Amino acid sequence: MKPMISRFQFYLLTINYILGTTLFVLIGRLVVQAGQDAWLMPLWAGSFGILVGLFWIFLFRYYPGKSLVQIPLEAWGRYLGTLVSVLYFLYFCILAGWVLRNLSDFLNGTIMPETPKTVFHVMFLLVAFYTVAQGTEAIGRLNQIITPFLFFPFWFVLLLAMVNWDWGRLQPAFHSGLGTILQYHSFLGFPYMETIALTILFPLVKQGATRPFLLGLMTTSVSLSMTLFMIIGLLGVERASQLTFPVYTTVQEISIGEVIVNIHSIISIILLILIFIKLLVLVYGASETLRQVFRPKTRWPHFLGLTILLSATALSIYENPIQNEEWDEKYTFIYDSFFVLLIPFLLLVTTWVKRTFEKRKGG
Amino acid sequence: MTNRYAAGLFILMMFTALLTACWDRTEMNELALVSMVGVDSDPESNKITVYYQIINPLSGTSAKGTSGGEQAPVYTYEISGSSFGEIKSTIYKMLPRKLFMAHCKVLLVSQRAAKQDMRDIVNFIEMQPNGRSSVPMLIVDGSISQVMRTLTPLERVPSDTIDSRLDLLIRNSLLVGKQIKVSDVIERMEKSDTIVLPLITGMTEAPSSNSGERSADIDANQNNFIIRGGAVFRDYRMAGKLNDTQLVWYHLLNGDRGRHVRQFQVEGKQVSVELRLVRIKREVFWKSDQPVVRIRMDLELSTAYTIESVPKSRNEVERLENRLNQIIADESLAFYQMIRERGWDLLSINDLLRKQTPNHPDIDQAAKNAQIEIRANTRLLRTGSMSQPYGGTR
Repeated sequence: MKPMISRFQFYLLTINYILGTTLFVLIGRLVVQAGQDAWLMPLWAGSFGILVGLFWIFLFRYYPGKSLVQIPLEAWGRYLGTLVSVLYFLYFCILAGWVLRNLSDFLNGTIMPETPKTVFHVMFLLVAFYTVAQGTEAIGRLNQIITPFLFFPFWFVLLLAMVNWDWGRLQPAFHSGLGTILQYHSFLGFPYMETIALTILFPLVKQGATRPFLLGLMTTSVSLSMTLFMIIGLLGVERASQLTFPVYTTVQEISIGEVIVNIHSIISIILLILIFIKLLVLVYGASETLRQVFRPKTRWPHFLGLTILLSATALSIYENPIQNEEWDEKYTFIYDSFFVLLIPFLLLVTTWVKRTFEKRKGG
Repeated sequence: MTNRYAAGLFILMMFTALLTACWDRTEMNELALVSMVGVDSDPESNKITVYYQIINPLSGTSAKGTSGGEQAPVYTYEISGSSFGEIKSTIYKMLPRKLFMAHCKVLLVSQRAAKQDMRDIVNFIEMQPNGRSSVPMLIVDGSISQVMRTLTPLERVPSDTIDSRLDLLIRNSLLVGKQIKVSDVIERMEKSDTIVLPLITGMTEAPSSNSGERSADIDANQNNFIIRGGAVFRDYRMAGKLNDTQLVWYHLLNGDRGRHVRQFQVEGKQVSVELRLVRIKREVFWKSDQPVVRIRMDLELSTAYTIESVPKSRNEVERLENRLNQIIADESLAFYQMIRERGWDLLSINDLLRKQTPNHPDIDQAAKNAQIEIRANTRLLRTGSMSQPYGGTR
């Protein structure tokens, strides 16, 4: 495979992928967990994310130029390898379904209560598959062009909200016990362990994906931490922990004179685009897995099939946001660990055993 | 090639069919723009009454030749029910347009509803996706239905007049503080603080909703309402009232920076002085297991409104400053004693202790036992455009 996206493009893609749904699904829950110290949580969870990232990079060093779904084929042979690759395919599909459903929940709950969920799902999928069909380069470039339009308005709008700032809301600082912070393991799963979908792009990054990936993880953690810091300073722990979409509410409350009011649509658009980027990577991961494992001649039937499958998954993945939250808190970490820690670990062990065996044989 | 065109055309058609905005379109002509909401609840029957004051689009700005200019600028719809959700559904028995809350500017709550429990009210406001919690909340002293049906002079829409009066009071007096929004109420109540919200009172017994009558009446005090006094809240319930004098000390001790003119008795003479808080420092230290809260206020004085007698020398200025330091400290302390007796933590001492000593086993008790030391440091920095008031030839 020929490298196609630049390091910088991959760096931006990593950031936007992690921010994706995190900004509006998780902020409130993190504040519930750690109160006024919630801004510390992304820092330690990010450190864990970097450790896991290093672990994958270690595995990838043994298979240069191969993607996550090609490694099992080489390590475990055609049958078992295909099975594992199909498992990854399903994993990406489920994550994509999840992202789509988070998106329609957000839109139904804020600005478009009447629109059927499937409409959002199908519309986003159509655009996502169109982009995927244009190839990896298109994804990298699209994200690069779009990022400034997300970054600057987001921080500008939050800075406008600074009129409501109160330092007292962040006090007493460093008071939550380390225990309560560490207990919240689902934050490790979502979003940090989900970054495994980005490894599909690893072989396609010019000059290697290691640095941009790790830097991206670091930048996102700092950025999430800053966002949480601002949300607490602007809304206070009491309100931020009770609201469904704290970032949205913060912006909703901005009113500067008679002129700047009702600017929350800006934040909606930013969140929608971020979710789209996450969806794009997952959809790319799913379709690329199919392509690399089964090597079809034409791809559009796959795209059509995936559109139907993913929109159906999104609709049926959970019944209401309450179920989503419960799943996330109880099972995300364990569920993700299977794909993110266990399989790569087994692959690594097999590789070591194989290499030692071959060396001995050769020697 | 033909197939490609067909596919392209099909996709384009799909896009038009799936234009999501169609489901949630909001036509201006189909909306009832709510400018003010009033809430009342009857403790006996548990019945809630909501007043929606809706802007009349045909009033005022209508084109020349139409009769719209003479219509009332707002209409008040009154609807009762057993819950807020129910009211939202049944409002359409009377209202021909879709209720649009995003532009609501003021929330009024009747005194009896405030005394009962405000939890449901704030939850209802905060839960609505298009509602805003950044609107000010006022308590109606007297009849809410009268206030909701009063048209105000100068500003056509009553919510605009309340909004702008609050803004002016925050800046030009110490009678209203900044933290009076629904979001502030939620945040402070959840922290078990005690807060004060402004009170609003109707000025006449006979309300008039006739804009023609309003426009023919020169007396702005008639058929109007006034913002006066404050309602004290604890745990989402109204616990009492503060008068205007007490409000000045309350806002000063809480760091509000409005310019307030007040008359003081200095050396047997009345002097009107404008006060403005420059800096406030609140420190806590512990003296034999008892917290001592030291509040230090730096105030700027102005004699711009002093028509009685302006100090003439440095000595006189100093004497005035020293006297005012004493009066402010004494009166603030007396105010603190009053609220302490009533068990109101209006100076947020509980919150202060919680931030400074989060590990203390019984912060509530410590806050109750807290000793207060208040020091004021005033400096005369401005004078008016007269060095001495005219006194005639006496």
